[in-house]
Order: sequence, then C-alpha cells, then structure tokens
Amino acid sequence: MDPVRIWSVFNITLKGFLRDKGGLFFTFLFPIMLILLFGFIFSETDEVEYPMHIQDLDGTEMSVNLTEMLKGISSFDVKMISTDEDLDIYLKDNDINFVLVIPNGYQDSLMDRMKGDRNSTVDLTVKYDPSRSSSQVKLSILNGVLQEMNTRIEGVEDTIILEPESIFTEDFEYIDFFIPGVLGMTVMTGAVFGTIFGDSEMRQKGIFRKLSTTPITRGEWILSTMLFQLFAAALSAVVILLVGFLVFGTTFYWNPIAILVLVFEAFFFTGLAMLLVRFIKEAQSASALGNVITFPMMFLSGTFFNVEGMPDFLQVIAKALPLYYVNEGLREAMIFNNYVEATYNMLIVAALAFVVFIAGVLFTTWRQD
Amino acid sequence: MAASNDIVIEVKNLVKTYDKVNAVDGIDLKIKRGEIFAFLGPNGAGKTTTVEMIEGIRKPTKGSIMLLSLDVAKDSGKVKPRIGVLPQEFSSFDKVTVKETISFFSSLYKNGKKVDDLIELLDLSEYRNKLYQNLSGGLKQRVGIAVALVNDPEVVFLDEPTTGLDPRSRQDVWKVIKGLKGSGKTIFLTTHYMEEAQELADRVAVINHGKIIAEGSVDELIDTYGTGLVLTFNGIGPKLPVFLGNTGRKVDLTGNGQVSIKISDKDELLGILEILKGAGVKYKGINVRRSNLEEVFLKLTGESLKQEVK
Repeated sequence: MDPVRIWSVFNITLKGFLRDKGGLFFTFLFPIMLILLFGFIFSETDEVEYPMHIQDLDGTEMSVNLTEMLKGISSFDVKMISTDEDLDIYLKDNDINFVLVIPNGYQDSLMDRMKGDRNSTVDLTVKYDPSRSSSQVKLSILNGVLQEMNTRIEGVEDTIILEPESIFTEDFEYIDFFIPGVLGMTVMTGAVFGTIFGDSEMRQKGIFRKLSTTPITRGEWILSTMLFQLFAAALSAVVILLVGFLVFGTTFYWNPIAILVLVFEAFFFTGLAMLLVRFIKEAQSASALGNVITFPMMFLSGTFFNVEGMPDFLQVIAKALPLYYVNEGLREAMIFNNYVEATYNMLIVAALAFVVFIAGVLFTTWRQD
Repeated sequence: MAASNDIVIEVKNLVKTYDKVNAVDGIDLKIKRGEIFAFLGPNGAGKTTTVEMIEGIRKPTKGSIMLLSLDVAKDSGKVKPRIGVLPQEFSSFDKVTVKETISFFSSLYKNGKKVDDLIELLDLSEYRNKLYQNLSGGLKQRVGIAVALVNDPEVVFLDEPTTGLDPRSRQDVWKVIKGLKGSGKTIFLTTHYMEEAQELADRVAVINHGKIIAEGSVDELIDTYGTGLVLTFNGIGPKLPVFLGNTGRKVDLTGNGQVSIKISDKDELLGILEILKGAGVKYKGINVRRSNLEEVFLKLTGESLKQEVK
C-alpha cells in the first residue's frame, strides 16, 4: 500500500466531489431537509411511544394504582398480561422484550413501610431484553416514576426498588431518535451512491482500464475510495448534528463508539457497492442498483421509526440488515452512552466491513478476462 | 529466453479464446526499440485484444509476451512503470482540470514527469485550468497522450489515438507522435486509418480474423502486395471511361471528372496515352502514383477499412 497513491486518489475524488452539485446536495442538503421535515412534523405531535407489558400478580388497589399511573405516561403503551399466563412462555410466544411484574404482596409491603417498618421493601421484577435500545429507555422512565413514588412515601427512600440502574433522565423525543438514524442513512446512501456512480462511470470511461496499466493496485484504490467516503460521512455527520442542535436543541453523548460505528459503516457500504457494481453493465443502471441496496434498509432498519413497532416478520428482516446494527449502535452510543451495547453493534458492523473489504480485493479486478 | 536489447516487444504464438473462438489466433510479433509500429485491422480483427494482452490488461489463453525483456505475465509490476498506455476510447474524470488530471496520473508513479513539461509538450498550456468535460475531442486525446507519458515511458501504446477526430486535430496528434519517436520512444500504434499508418509507421502489421496476414515496412507491403501504379485522368469527357472499359480494364470512376485505372509500368502508360491520342479522346491532365496502403489492405482482406471506421 503506497500512501502517496492512496492520497492521490482521495484528492482527485474530492476535487470531483466538490464540483458536483448533485453529490453535494445529497450529502449535505438532503439530510438537512429530512431532519427539518421529520423534526417539525413529529416534534409537535408525539413523543415516542413504547409498548410496556405488565403482569399484576398482586391485584390490589395499590397495584392497580401503579398500573394506572404508568398508563398515564405518554411514552408507554401499557398492555396487561393475565396472571394465568406462564410469563416465560408468554414472552417467547409473543416476542415481548420488556415486562414489569408487580409481585404478590406489593400492597402489604407498602402498607408495612408506611406504618413505620423500615425493613419492608418491594422488589419489582423487570424482564427485558438488554440488546434492545428501547429497553434502556423504558427502564429509565420507569425508574423515574418509581423514584417519584418513593419520595411521596413519607420519610422513606428505596421503598420500591427496581434493580437496573437508570441511564436516561431527560425527555426522549422523536428527533433524538431520528437524528442518529439520519446519520446512519446518510452515510449509507453517500457511500453506496458515491461508489456506484463513481465506479460505473470510471468503468465506462475506460479509467479503470487505464489505471490497470499503472502501478496503483486495486487494494489501494478500494482503500482510498473507502477513506473518501468516510471523509464525506464525517462532513455529513457534522452538518446533521449541527442542524439538530441549532434547530431542535438536540444534544448527544460524545461517545467514541459512535464514531467507530460510522467509520465501519462507511467502509462496509463502500465495499458492498464496489462488489455489486461489477454486475451492472451500464452507468444508467447505477441508480437502480443504489436504490435496491438502500431503500429496503432505509425503511426496514429503524431509520425513521422504531423497529419494535413493526410486524414480527419485518422485525426479523430488519435484524438481517446491516443498517439495523448501525442504527442500534449509534443510538446506544449517542443517546444512552451505553458502551456495552454500542460496542456489540459496532463490532458487527466492523466484521461486515472487514469481510467486504477482503471480498472487494479478492473478487473485483481491473484485469479483463 | 530474454529478448535481445533491440527488441522491446516479442510476442510468440499468442492466442486468446472466447467461447471456443480464437479472437487472437497464434500471433508472433517483434518490435524494435525506437520504431513506430502500426497495427492495422478492421473492427473485430483482434487488434485491441492483442494490444491489451501485451499491456497486461487481458490474460492470454496461450503464448508468451516479453516486454522490455520482462515476462508480462510474471513481472507486470516491473513492466508498468516503464510503459505508457492510451487505451481505446479513453476518457478521464469530467470535473477535473487538465493540469489536475495529468498531476493525478503522474503521482501514481515514483518517476513521474514534470506536469508543466507535459502540458507544454502537448501544447495544452491554454487549457490547463479547463475542466476535462469542456474539452474538444482533439484536446481530450492530447490529454490522454499526456497521461500516457507521465512516467516518461520507454514504450508507448496508443490505441486508436485519432479515431473520431477532425483532420486538423488528427494532424496535431500525428505531430506529437512524430515528436515522441524523435525522443527515442518505441510506439505501438493501433489504428484504423491507412493514411495514419502510412504517415507515421516504420513497420506495419495487418491483422485479420486474429491472424497477422502481412508485416513489413509500408514500402515493403506496397511492393509486395500493391497493385503497381494508378493512372488517373482529370477533366475527362464521356468518351474516356467507355473507351478504357472497352480495353478490358477495371475502370474506377472517382467523381469530380476523374477516372482511374491500374497499370503495371511506364510502357503500359505510354501505350495507353498513344492509343487515346490516336482515337482523339480528350482529357485535361493525368496523374500517376504508386498504390497505397489502403489498396494493399483491400487486396489482403477483401474489405475496405474506411467502411469499418466508426
């Protein structure tokens, strides 16, 4: 790998990019328009609503009060699970990832506490899937509610205990959810379309044929293209975050895992596009190929709306799409500052990027048959 | 076995097969240092396939290629810095200027030539800051040739360098190619144009259906395969073509009041002129010339190259 040649390709691609109005529009203005459009549409209407399942094993006035209180929180769409149900089987059959169990004796314990028994506590059980970013949100909101209840019980703290710790304290609105999605989507579309249009045009113009007679290697070309797409992604990210902050006041955690997610995402989609562009003969087919790659992912991977709100079969499809892990990784890092989950998703994207880079070097060639 | 120092390209029994058809069918070539070698043939004859195998773009089915005493199949990494290539129908990055384009390709080599020198050599100074997409066809080809020279190559491959250019642009490119020969470079020129080969080439090979059917200097080819002399009458009346036709000769009416016939020597010429004088057939003037490469090609392949030009 020769750094001078890698820089040369990067530099000439940048020059062409900066003079291409269409490319600039889709890199910068289009995501801004999306943020403004979706931000204004949804900021006035709703906060994000999450399904919250409750099994009330106590069935007393106080447990019903707690249920009603949770129903009053706009972020929760509360659904009750019958006490007859075996919870483990029910969760599996219905693909539910978050359930609050109010234990038998809830009211009695609370009453004891209020009568002065300082040793009396209530342990609420939450069964949840920690891989879901929404679980963290639900836990956070639930913790906030329970803390408020605790303080209402005179002279008492920690009467009602929820084991998981809160990581989220602010209001969580649609725009907070949306901006990481737009980031992931913009990097994906930029990398896919930038690579497909660039590659197919250069193939048609004979530039690859020319390059194959020079000392530059295919690996150097691929790496350089990936680095350029990463650079374009970074520019997009800055613009998107800036617009989010200035217009909607959104702020995020400066979590380095988010940066790694974006780096590997740019590498992955550039490599994927390079592999697939071999199958198109005409430059005119490039946009069709780009749409085939990006459109399903854009709508199924949780860019615009939470995947959990989708039908079950679509959720299965979503989890097979790379952009899902990008979106999850970005949200875990930027919204919840959750290193473990963010790293998990980042590693999946990194592995995919590594695989397509190797495949790109192995399976794409300038040499003709 | 290494080629001798005077031979910079040596191709032996080169074969390229597509779907059981030999697009290139057992070609042997030897090209000497410092010569312009023209590779002629109609579309689909195997010209570009052959030259791309020599450049290392395509993989031969069979045969060996020694370029600058290096085996192209094994030593392409060593060959690339020493050759310059203008591919067929080459185009460059649209939104990049002439200077940036040449700089980019130059930066791919460790021994890149000075960009300003190349701009001057190709007479592109006036256009150095123009975007490639805004250049005329002739200027684009000149940029392409500049790009082929960025590493100061020993061997330059020019694949159809003047196809689609107007006569003036073609003359400009010819001037550049002659200049390259003057600087001692070996040039492998692939072309459709007979007059281009005739004007530039030291040696010519004619390829048809994947095989070399003739090879030699232009004079050698004309002497060997030519049809002798061509006698053209100017300012003719209606009688002359009929009269010549009656002598059993093939008469070529070229328009503009001209008619041509083939003759073998001076005696035949004098005989015809005597007969015409005796018969009182009038004309304004005559012109006698040797056969050209076009006629050689026609005789060899049975087809006219001009019709093949895209």
